[in-house]
Amino acid sequence: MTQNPNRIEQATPVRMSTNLTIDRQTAKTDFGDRLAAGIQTVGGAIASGAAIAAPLVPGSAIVSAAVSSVSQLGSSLAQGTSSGAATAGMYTSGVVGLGGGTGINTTVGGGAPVPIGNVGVGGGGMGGGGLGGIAVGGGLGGGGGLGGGGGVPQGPGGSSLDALQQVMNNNNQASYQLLGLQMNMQRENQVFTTVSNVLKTRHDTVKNTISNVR
Amino acid sequence: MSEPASSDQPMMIQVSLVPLAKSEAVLMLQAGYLWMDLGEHVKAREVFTGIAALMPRSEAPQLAMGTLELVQGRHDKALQTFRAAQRLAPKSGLPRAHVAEALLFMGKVPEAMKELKAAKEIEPDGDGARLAQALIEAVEDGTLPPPAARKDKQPR
Repeated sequence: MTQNPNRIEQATPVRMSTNLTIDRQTAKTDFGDRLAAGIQTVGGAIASGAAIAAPLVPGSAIVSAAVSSVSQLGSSLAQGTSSGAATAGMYTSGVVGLGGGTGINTTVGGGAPVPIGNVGVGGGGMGGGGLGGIAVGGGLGGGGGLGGGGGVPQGPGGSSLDALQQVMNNNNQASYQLLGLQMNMQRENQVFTTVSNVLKTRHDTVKNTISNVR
Repeated sequence: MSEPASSDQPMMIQVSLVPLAKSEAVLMLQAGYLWMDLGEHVKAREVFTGIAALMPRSEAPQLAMGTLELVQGRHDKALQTFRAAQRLAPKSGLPRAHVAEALLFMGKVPEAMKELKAAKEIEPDGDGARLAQALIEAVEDGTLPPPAARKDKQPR
């Protein structure tokens, strides 16, 4: 059987594959996915930890509100929503300590590879604003929402810092009160010790006086 | 109080006007202090008055009477009674320490400190010195004089 150089004229022409594109079979481990997973983990840890500690600290209602927002942030990240701006705002606010004021210049999100450029505190990157001081401060700042447009509505910009300041003031006041209470207790203990010493000495002298009466 | 086994006669109070056994005097003083600690000040006063009449030259009933006055808050009378005890036993440091105690409750700290130092010098190892030292420590850490006495001394 001779081969015809013209493949079109062959009896069995070249077959064209008609398979549709399927999803990725290997694990997607690029930076964006890892960042999203890390944020979700950190958000969950903060949420659980702060929920435990919330009743013990002053202003626990504010902290609880902030913590619940962090949980929502993590869940929305897990769903691939484009809430990278809010996340970046939280990190760049220095609350968690990642970034330290520098923006995140990468792609976060499930589908749309939209680069998020330099999103700061309350920044105006993609998603309409960051989450300023969400983890600790309580108030959700940045003027935007969590996620692009359809996120959780947050408080007015700058209130997070005020709330953080208020919580810190409350903590300071509680610390001062505890310190004063401790000092009073020490003072009272000293007074009791001294009075006890005087009374014991008096009792001993009276006993000796009675026994030595002549 | 146990009596000496070799003696058939009980120990007698030497300065008593009437024959009085030491055990009886001790018993009466203890009864008076018990009444005082129980808050029965009238009964304690009766007992102390009786033992003071029986032992007019002893400073012990006077100290007991002064303590009773001090407990009832009558600091002036307590000071007078302690002074009477001091006159009966001028070489004893214990009446001076009690005088200082009354002065402290009256808010007179400098006079009290003088008496306390004198009590320590008279009998450095005696009961008066120990009580004086305890009172000095109370003054140094601010426990004495009491706040009520301090309030009276504040300038208006």
